[in-house]
Parts: sequence; structure tokens; C-alpha cells
Amino acid sequence: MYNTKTLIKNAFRVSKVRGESAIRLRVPGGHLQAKYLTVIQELAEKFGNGTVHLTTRQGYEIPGIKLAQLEEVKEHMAEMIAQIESSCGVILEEPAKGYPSAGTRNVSACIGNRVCRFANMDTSALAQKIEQVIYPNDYHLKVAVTGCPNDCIKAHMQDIGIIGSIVPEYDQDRCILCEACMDNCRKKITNALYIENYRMIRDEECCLQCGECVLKCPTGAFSRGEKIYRIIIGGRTGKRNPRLANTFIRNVSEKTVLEICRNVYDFIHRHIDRSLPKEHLGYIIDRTGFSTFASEVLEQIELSPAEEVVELNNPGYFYPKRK
Amino acid sequence: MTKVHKLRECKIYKDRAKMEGLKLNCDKAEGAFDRIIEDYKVVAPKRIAGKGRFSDMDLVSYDMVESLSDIVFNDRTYFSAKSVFFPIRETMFNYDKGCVEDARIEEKLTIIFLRACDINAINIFDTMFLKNGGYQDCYYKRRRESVKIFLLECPRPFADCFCASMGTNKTDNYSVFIRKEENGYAIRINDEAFMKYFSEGAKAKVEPHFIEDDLGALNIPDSIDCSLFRNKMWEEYSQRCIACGRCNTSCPTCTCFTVQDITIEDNMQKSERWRIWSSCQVKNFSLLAGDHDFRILKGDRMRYKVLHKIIDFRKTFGFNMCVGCGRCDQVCPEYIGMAKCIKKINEICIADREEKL
Amino acid sequence: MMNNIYAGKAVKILGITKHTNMERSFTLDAHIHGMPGQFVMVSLSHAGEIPISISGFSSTSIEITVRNVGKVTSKLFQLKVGDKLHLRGPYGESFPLEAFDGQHLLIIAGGTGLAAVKPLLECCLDDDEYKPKKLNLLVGFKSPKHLLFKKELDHWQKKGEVIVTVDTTEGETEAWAGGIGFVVDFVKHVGGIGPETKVVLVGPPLMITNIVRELVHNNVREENIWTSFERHMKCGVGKCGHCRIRDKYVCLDGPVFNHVEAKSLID
Repeated sequence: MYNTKTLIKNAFRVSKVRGESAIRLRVPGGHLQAKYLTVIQELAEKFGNGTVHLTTRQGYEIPGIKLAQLEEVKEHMAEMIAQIESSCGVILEEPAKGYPSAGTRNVSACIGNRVCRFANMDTSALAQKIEQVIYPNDYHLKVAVTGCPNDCIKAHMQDIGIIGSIVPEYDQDRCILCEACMDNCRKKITNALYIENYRMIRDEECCLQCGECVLKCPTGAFSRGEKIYRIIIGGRTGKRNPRLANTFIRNVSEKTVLEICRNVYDFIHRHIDRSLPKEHLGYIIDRTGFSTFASEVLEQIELSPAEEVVELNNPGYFYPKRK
Repeated sequence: MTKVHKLRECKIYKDRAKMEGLKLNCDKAEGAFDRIIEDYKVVAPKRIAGKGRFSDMDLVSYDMVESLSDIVFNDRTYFSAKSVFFPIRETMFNYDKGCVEDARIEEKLTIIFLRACDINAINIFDTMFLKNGGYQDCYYKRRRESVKIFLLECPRPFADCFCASMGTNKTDNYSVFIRKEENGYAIRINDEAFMKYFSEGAKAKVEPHFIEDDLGALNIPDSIDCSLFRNKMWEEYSQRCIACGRCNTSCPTCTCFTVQDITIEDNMQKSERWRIWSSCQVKNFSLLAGDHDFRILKGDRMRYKVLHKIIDFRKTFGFNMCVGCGRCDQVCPEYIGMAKCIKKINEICIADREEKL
Repeated sequence: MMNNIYAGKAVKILGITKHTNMERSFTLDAHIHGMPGQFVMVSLSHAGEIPISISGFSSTSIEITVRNVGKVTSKLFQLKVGDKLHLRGPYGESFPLEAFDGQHLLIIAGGTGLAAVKPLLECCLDDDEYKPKKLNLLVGFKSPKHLLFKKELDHWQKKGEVIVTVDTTEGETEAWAGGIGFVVDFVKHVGGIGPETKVVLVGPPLMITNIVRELVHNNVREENIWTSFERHMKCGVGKCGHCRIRDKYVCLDGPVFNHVEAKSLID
């Protein structure tokens, strides 16, 4: 009667209530034109049970949809999903059929520099660029973009996380040695700053490039330099072996971020264990080894000298397992 | 209202009727400006892309400009222009194997584009560095003497500024006034020395517009009672202030500095004595040897600063230190307002007086 | 060369007196016509510059007394007789000597504070221009081994009434003949204190607060008390702003203030 595989592929959920479903609407970058809320309200009230769930990935999930009304639902939401996706540069060929795939999840983002004072970048904008590169795609992949190492979006629990950073620039002639940057870095961050001969020294090995020294500086001695990104990989939740992601490449440009997101799919395609319904990227990397992953993902990408690759060496958390 | 002390720095053009002003199109004005920058370094409000504190924000601040089109005429700068004549870090002495030498500076004349409040702020600097205690600070003096002032007008008050209340809304202490108009510039020359740069253009009547009324007018109390020091109003600031010092570093009238000796790397024989801006809101300002700090509470530091700006300085010199530029309000990350604080002080003073009557 | 108010003059160290491990006096080849209560700015390259009160004058030299607590002082302690340092001054206001002439003067000092009042004592005891009719010195140290100017104290004992106290004699082997306890507790031992007694008070802030209270309790009028302010001074000439309290600059208007004024100088 209903093909659950097709339902799932089209971003509908198979509900515990027989004959019911729920539609998951993508909101790339977690930022949406307010006008779409009217459509979401209509969908919920007309086809669902009048409620809306905010998903952990920043989408909207409308529960209580009758499977019998699926075609009407698709028709009602077609224009909206086509518009939202096309604003990210994704062209849906047949929006009236619903989403073409659901494996690659909504690319989520913290509020970013549209509002947040800590953020080093427009996270939603980058998330939407990533959406364009990776969607639609059936391979399961979770990507999130966070504006600074505070990681409010929990990029550390994603297959790929992007952390917005800046290179702080220091102008000794503007520094009044108030030590606000240094005290803050010592108490809150990595203690990367110290004074030598009345000049602030930044230990580049330790510096997270979070930009807090810029935020603290009363004279602009520390100011915003180049915007760069840190890519972290292999994070996951789940029942088998949860793990926080690890730094993969530091100091990368936006271009490299997008290229790597694209290349990851080729790597997954080559190595995924097809006996499983889905497999997180981190498990595939564990199986192939980090060097295979790195060389395949970075193939044909020309890294600049600053773009520094770091080995993944975090085993994660194991639940006690019966022998 | 307190009388504003004026220190004249330019020769006022003698025959005012003969030369009131002129209008130039953009090309001709830039031509005149090109001739000016051959003789002067010009520092003016400029938009510096991406250098704001927060991501993707610009910084409007004083910087070297090379064209009139670089100048931001309609925005308040984050920092004042004081670093031109009072560098954030300045070398005072060079020491080499026991010999001392005064630091040298570049002697090029500098033009600064300033609003009326900031021009009046220079009076405070002159008072502190050239008069206080009867001592003249030679480092300040030589930089100050190489400064010429060009006036920027304020068509409207900016948010939180209160120059009219402080009596710093007007000035005739400038060499040239330049207004940006739709198709060019209106110019008024007050200083004969600048006549030669403006050989072209149509004569016109050009008068700078000064702010007459503040958005929020303030009354400054003539004097305060010592009980104000123990008033509860300061406790709020102890809770809110984070002692970041931005109010001081952006202020056009904060003059405090500290002195440090640094060793020149690669040559242990050589060292330099620097002076560096200092902030009364930041740790260590009031720290004595033996770790005794007599102003620990941020509320006390706020009181120390605010009362200096509106009472204590005036007691000695006859005019207020604060010029009402509103920068400290604008830069405070905790939204602490100077104007609001002055208002509270005034209310307390009025209540005290009424109680006594 | 421009007229630079921050430029010191190189002066030679003529003599060094070691009082304790932490305190030394340096006699400097400087012809400074200062008055008791004034200070000089002492500067050493690579280290910095600090204010130090003048602890003695002669026609050809001055003496400064230093406690080794910071970067500049520790470098100063490495210097030997014949070495040079840079000096400028004198700065600040002197003690109001005329006000003490013919009066009962009580000088109270704590620790290194004695250095600042030493020229005043010398002036009152050895000169003829300003002569108090009666002079008392009450001076307190941490312990007998912290005593400064032992020789001078003996000399003053002969000419005026001197009480020397120590906070404690714990760990001392030699017997201590002076008082034991805080200076404030010895104010009542000073004879003849009354409303017209002039008092000069130099020491740590807490000691000053406590002793002023005790003096007022003993009917000394507030306008007859002078206290010294110790502040963070970076320039000595009213520019750096660190020593400002309300409309006063400790470097210009102080370091000694009449208590009536000092009371209103709230940090």
C-alpha cells in the first residue's frame, strides 16, 4: 500500500501510529524567511494534528499527517521547499514529489554573526553554501556550522563540523598592556597569550583563533584578521561508539571547506558498509584508516601551507559490551 | 553652564567680508586636497572595512586619508583622534650604554578633521599637558604644535551625545571647515595659511552648522556634597561594569598614562622608556607596591572617572572635562551611560539641596 | 635639546648605608635645594622610574632611603658607590614649617615613613629658623631588626622626646628597651597632647586612619594634623594622572595634606 523506503527517502517518517506520518522540512543554516511559518502553520492545521516539532537539526517536523493525504501535503508544500532550496542554490527538479532525498540531513548552524558577538562568520550563509554542494544526496551525513569554538551548534557531534575562526592581528603600538585579552584567554580558553618585553605574544600552537582577544581589547590592538575555518570530523552519537569529532584541518579557506564536503561523498561511496541501513562517516574512517580518508578526501585539493592536517586519534566512548 | 576655555591655534582670516567661503565640485576639491597632502599628513574619520570588533563590521575611526572621498563625514568615530598628538605608546627616551637621548619624532605637519566637541576636547589636553602644575610636557607640545584643525559639522546630534549641555557644541578654533554636499564641497577658510590651496571655486556664504539642542539635555551640578561618595548609586556600577576600559580609550579627554622601560631585543645595552595610555577603570591603575589597591570596586572607579569629568577638573580649571561626545556610552559593552550617570548625580544633588532647605 | 621635564640628571652614588636587608639609604652627589617633605624621581634605565622621598639634605648632597619591593628598587640595590643613577626633582609641597614654629610638634612615623620625616626632624632639632617649643617623635617598626636610622634615633633621643615601638619582639635574642605594640596604642604615652599640638603623620594608610581617630579622641584639632599620601606616581609633575584624588594631585599638592583637606580626598 505504502512503500516505506520511498517515504523515508522523501523525508517522511514512518510513525508509530499506523497510517500516519510526519514530514521533516529542511531549514538550511537554521535561518528562515518568516513568511514560511504561515505555510508551516497551514500544513500542521490542515493535514497534521495542529502541532509542530522543532527538530534537533533545526528543521520543522509536522506530526500526525495521514498517509492517505500525502499527495495533497506534497502539493501544499511544493512551492515553499522549492523556494527555500533554490535560495541555497539547490534546484529541486520535481518539488511536487516532495524532497528528493533525506539521507544527507539538514545542514544546521548556530545563530552566527548575524546576531552573536562571539561569532566569527555568517554560519547560516556557509551552511546554505554547503547545502548547495551536498544536497540532495542519499548518503547519511550530518554537517553543522558553528561561528566560534564555543560550538553552540554541537559541531563536535556531527560527521563534519565547521568552526568559524579568525586570525587575530596584533598591533603592538596600540597595546596598553591592560592584560584583558591575556586574563580572559587564561581563564576561559587556552592560555595562548603571554607578555614578553611589554608585548603580547600569541602562541600559535595553542591559539584556537576564537577571536576573544579582539572582543576584549579596549584599543583595537587585537583586531580581526583573515577569516578561516577549522574542519572537525568523525563526531557521532548512537548506541555503538559515541565520539566527539576531532580536528581534521586547521586554517582552511571557505573554498577548501566546500571541496572537502563534496569529496567526502566519493569516499563514502567507495567504502561504506552496504550491509547496514546507514553508516556514520567516523566508522568508515575507522575501518579504512585515517590516511586513506585524508588522501582520498584531499585528492586534487591544493592545500595552502597554512592549511594544516591533523590526524584523527580519538577512540571515543565505548559502552560495556558482552564478550 | 560652564564657560569653555579656548586656546586659539590659527590666525583668523583678517578680511572676513572678502572671503567667507566657496563651493567646489568634487574634482576641484580633490585637486585642492591633493595640494594640501603634499604639505600635510591628513587624519580624518575613515571607514576601515572588516576591522570592527564584531565579525563583518567596519570600524569608523581616525586614520590617514589620501582623498576627500575617503572621509566619513556623517558618522561618529569609535576612537577619538587623541592618538595623533598623544600616541598610545610613545618613546620618551632611548638609553644606550648609560647615555640618554630624547626620542625623535617625525616633524610633518598634521591636519585633523574634528567636530566641535573634539576640538574643545583638545583644550583639556592642552590644559593637562601644557599647564597643570606649571609644567609643560615637551612630547605633547611638539606634536600639538604641528597640528592644524579642520572642522567637521554635525547636522544632527548622534545618539547619546550631549555637547550642548557641556557647552562644547560650538567652536571657531579651526583653520578650514569642509562640508560635503551633493555635488561637491562647501569650504570656509579661517586661516590665511590655507588660502593658497583653494584658488578655484565659486564664492559663497558658508557657515558651519552647530548643534543647538541635545536630544537629552543634561544639567551639570555646580558642586557636590561629600555624601555623594557613599551614595548607593555607585553600587549598581560595581555590579554592571566589567572594567574593560573602553570608556577611557575612546574618550577624547582621558589623558592618563603609565611609564615603562623596555629592553631592546638583540642588544641588552639598549633600552627605551615608553609612556603608554592608562585607564582608571582597569586593574592596576590604583595599585601600590605591596598589593594595596585603594580603588577595587568598579563603582568607585566609575565615580572617580565621572566626577573628574564633570566636577573635579572644573574646580581647578573652570571648565568641564567631559565634552559630551557620547563615545563612552556607545562603546560600553554593558550599556553603561555617562549621560544617565550625570542625570542621577544631578537628581541626588537636587534632592540634597531640597532636603537642606 | 628641548626642555624636557621628564629628563633626569645623572648623579653619582657617594655612599650607601645598609639599615636592614630590605632598606638602604643612598647618598647622592646632587645639589638639590629641596625642603623637608619633598620627593625626587629616581630612574634607572631598563628598570623604570619611581618617586622616593628625600631623607636627608646637605649642602652638596641628598640622601634617599629605599625599601626593596619592586623592579626599580631591586636594581638600585645592585648599585655600588660610584655608580650613577638619574634623578629629577625636587617635587611636591614641603611640610608647613612656619606652622610648627614655637608650637608643640608631634611627629609620628611607621617604618620607612621615618625616612620622609627625617629632614623635618633635622630641621626642627638642628636648625634655628623654625623651632618648635617641644618636639615628640613616635616611631614604630615591625620588630627590633626592622629599625632604621639607629644612630640618628640615638641623636634625636638626646634632643627631644622619642618613643620607639615595635609590633613584636618575637624571635629576638637581644632585650628590647622600647615599647611593644601598635603605634596607635602609644599616642597616649606622648606627654602634653592637646588641641593645639601639631601632628605630622607618615605611614601606611591603615595606620594613618587609626591614629587620626586616636588623635581626635585626644582633642587634637583636625586642622593641626598633617598626613602623607602614598600613591602610584608615574611622572611626578601632574601629567600621568595616577596620583589624582578629586581635584588634587599628590605629586603637586602633596604628598602631605592637612587633615581637613585629606578628609575630603576620597579615592
